[in-house]
Amino acid sequence: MRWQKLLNPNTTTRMALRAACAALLCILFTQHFYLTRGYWAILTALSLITPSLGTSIYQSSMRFIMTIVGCFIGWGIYIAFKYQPEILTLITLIILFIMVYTLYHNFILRMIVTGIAVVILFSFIGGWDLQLLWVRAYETLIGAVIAVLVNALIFPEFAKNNVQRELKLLLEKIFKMADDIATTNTLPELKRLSHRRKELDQTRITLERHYEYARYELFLRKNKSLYYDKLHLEINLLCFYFQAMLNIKISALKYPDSVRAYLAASGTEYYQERIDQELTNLRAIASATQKP
Amino acid sequence: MFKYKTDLLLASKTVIAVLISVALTFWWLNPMGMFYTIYTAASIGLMQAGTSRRAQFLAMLFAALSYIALYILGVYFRPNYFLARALLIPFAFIAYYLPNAGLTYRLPPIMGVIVYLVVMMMPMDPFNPGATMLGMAIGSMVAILIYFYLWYYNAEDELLLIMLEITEAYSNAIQVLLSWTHKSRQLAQDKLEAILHFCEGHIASFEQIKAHPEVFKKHAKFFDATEDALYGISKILWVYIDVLPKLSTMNLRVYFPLIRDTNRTLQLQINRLTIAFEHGFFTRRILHRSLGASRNALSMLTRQQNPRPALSLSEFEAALLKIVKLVESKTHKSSEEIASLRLAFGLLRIKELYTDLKIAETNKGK
Repeated sequence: MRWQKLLNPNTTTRMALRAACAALLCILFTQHFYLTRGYWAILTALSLITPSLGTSIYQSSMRFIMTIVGCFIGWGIYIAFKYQPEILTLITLIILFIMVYTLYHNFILRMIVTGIAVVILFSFIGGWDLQLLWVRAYETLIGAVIAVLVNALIFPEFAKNNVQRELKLLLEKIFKMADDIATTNTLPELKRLSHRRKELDQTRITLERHYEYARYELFLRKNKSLYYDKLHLEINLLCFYFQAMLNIKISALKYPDSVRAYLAASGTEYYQERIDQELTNLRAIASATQKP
Repeated sequence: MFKYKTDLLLASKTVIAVLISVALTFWWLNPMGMFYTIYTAASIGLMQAGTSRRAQFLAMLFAALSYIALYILGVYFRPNYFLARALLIPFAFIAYYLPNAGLTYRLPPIMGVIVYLVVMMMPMDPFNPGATMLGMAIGSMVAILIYFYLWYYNAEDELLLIMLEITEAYSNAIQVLLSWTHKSRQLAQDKLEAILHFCEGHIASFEQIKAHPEVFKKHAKFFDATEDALYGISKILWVYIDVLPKLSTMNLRVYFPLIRDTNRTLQLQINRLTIAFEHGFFTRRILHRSLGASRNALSMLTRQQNPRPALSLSEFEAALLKIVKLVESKTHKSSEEIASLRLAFGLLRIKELYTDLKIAETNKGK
C-alpha cells in the first residue's frame, strides 16, 4: 500500500518533484554553457510547473512570446524616456498596478507587463540593451522548454485523461439526474436533487477547465474537438433545464394556487420535452466522442 | 472600465504600499536594496491566505519572514558557489510541497524562493545586506498596515461586491436584450456570452470564499440565500443565449423590440422592469434580509446604487403578467412563443419564489 502511494503521488507532490527536477536541470544547463544570467531560465522553469502537461504547454509558449513582446515594448519606453526618470517611475507604478490587477484574470497581459517591468527595473540598476534582450529571450526559452520537458516526463498528468475521466463521471451523473427528476415528487427529495444539481455544475466547470488545457496537448483531433464543443453546450443547457424543472416542481408543491400552478403546469411539460430532446442529442454526441 | 472591483482595490493598495515604502527608504538604501523592498512591499499584500483577519495576518507574516529568511540564506550561501545552487533544489521542492501540509496558497514559498534565487545568482554582490533586510522589513510592515487599515474588506463585503457586480452585469444583459435585433444578433450574442463568462468567473470567486470552512460556518445563512440567486442569474443568461436565436426564426421574430415598439403600455412595463433590474432586484431583497444588521452592506448598497424607489414583489409580478397577457393577445394566444416568453420571464419569477421560500423556511427554523 505504501509503495503504491509512493509510486502514485498526488498532484502537489508530483509538482514538487517536477520543480526540484526543473531546478536541477536548469542549474546543470547554466553551468555547462556558462550562462551568466541563468536565474532567468531557473525563474521561468520554476514558475511554469503546472498540474497538467496541457497547461504547461500553453503557459510556456505564451510566456516566451509575451516576454519578448513585453521586452520590446519596455525597450521602446526606455529609449523614449531614458533621461526622464520621473516618467519611468510613474510608468513602473502603472505597470505594477496592472500586474496586480490582472494577477488572477489575464495571464497574457500579465506576462507582457512583467516583460516591460523587467526592462525598466534593469534600466534603473544598470541599463538595458539589445544584448540583454537577446539573453533574456533565449534564457526564457530554455526555462520554458525545461518546464515542458519536466511536466511531460516526471510523473506526467495529462489534461486529456482528466477530460475523459470527468466526462464519464458527468455523463453518468446527468443520466441518473434525469431519471431521478422525472420520478421524484416529494419536497425533501426534490431539495436533495437540487443540491446534487449544483454538484453537477461543479463537475461541468472542472471538465471545461481540463478540456481547455487538453487542447494544448495536441491529442485532440479536430473532429473530436468539435464534438466536445457541442457537448459543452448541451451539458450547459441540460444543467439549466434540470434546475428549472426542479424549481417548478418545488414551487408547484409548495404554492399550488393561481399563477404559480399555471406556470408550473405548463413549465413541467415544456421542460420535460426539452430535457428529453437534449438527452437524445447528448447520447448521440457522447457516443461519437467515445469512438477512437 | 474595471470589471473586478476587489482586484482594483488590491492593486491600488499595492501601489500605495510601494510608494510609502519607497518614500521611507529611498534616501538611505542602495538601488538593489530598493528592489528587494519594492518586491516585498508589492507582494506581501497578495499573500492574504484565508479570510479571517487573523488567518490573513498570519499568512502575510509567514510570507514576510520567509522572504527575509531566504534573503539571509541567499547572502550567506552565495560565496559557496556549488552549495548555494544545490540548495535551490530542496527549496524548490519544499515550495511546491508545502500545500500538502495544509497551506492553502502556494504563492508565498515560491515568491520566497525567487528572492533566494535572485540574491544567489545576481552578477553583482549584495551591498549592505543588513540595510536591505531592514528595508524588506519596513516594506512588509507597510504592506500589512495598508492591507488591514486602508479600504479593508471582509468576506461579507467581498461577497457583496461580487453580488453587486453580477447585478450590474445582469442589468447590462437586460439592456442587450432590449436592443436585440435580427441584424445585430451575433453581436448581441457575443456580448451576452461575455457577460455570462464574467458572471461565472464571479461565481468561481464566490465558491472560493465559501470553501473556507471558517467563513462558511460564520455566514452559512448568507451563502444559503445568495447561492441560488447567483446560479440562477448565470443559468438564465444561458437560456437567453439559447432561446433568442430560436425566437428570431419564429413568427414573433424577436419579442423584445416588438414589446418596445408597439405599445406604450408595454413600453412603460419594460421601463419598470428595467428599473427593477437596475436596482438589483435579486440581490437587494436577499441582502436586505440576510445582511439586515450589517451597516457596511447597507451603506455600500446606497453608495453603489441611486436611491430610487424599489418595486415590490407584487408590483414586479403584476408587470410580468401584464407583459405576458399583452403578448398573448398580439400573438393570438398560440404556440411556442408564449412558452418562450414564459421561459424568459416566468423563470425569473420562479427563481425568486424559490429563494423566498428558502428564506421563509430559514425564518421559520428560527
